[in-house]
Amino acid sequence: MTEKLFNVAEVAGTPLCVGAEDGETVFAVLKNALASGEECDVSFAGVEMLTSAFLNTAFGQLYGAFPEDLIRAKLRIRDMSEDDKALLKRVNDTAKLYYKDPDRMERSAQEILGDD
Amino acid sequence: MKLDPNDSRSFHEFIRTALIEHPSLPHLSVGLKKKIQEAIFEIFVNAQTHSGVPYIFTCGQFFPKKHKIEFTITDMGQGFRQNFWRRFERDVAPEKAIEWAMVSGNTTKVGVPGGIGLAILKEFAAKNNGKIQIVSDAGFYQWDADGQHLSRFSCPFPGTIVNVQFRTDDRNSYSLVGEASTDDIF
Repeated sequence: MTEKLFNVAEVAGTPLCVGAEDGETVFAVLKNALASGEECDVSFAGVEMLTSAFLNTAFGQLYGAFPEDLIRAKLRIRDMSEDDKALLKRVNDTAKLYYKDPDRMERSAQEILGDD
Repeated sequence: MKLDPNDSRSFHEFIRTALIEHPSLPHLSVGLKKKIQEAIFEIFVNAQTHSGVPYIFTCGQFFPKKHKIEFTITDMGQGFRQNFWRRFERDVAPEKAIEWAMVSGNTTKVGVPGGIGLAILKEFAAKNNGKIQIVSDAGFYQWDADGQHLSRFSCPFPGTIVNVQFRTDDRNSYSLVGEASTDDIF
């Protein structure tokens, strides 16, 4: 079993981890690593700014590609502030719901249309 | 200021020098500064993701006697109603499209989870005793300490304006130490 260390700012190519496109770059790297069975230490050292949009594409999308248990077993987070960890956890929890219940968005749209 | 919505570096520099580290601002805690910057970036990225236009416009002002910052980001692209239509192929009242997008987890993106940014902005405004105002198409949405207010203009605005008011006399702690351990993030 191999273990890899990824630095999010280095993979994204910027310390401002805000845009969805940069998140896609991180997602592609993590997806390849998980698909190869690697364990990954993911470091946020050097990251100056984070948004939910970046984390959604970088990490949230992993739940559409891999089982939750595998992600939990293979990924470890380092060098992240407590409030950024709370944001990442919220992103991941939202992503789990999104993939578990793909019709939820349609139902939610129908509810607001029903209110109209 | 006119900005390329993909130029995060220039935008970061702008909010840092013209706002967060401006000498006229009172002392803000590190946590509050971080939360204000994050909230502004969530709006910036929302415009980047959804407007589909080459430029956004941004401005802000600090009101020292009122202890508040007003910060606005405007784009002339697709608004909330248009994005709702593109995603669901159903027409919704413009103010209702904004209300829908403010709910945590609601997103018009396809195949990618999301819809947290505006909810985070609203939660921060609640804690900070601030205010959010959004104009998109003919819809108007406001959220403040008195709650949510929706209305409709007689003439639509051809884009989206997001105005946020931050209180600088906020003494809340924004430290979230211990809320998420490294073990239960995934």
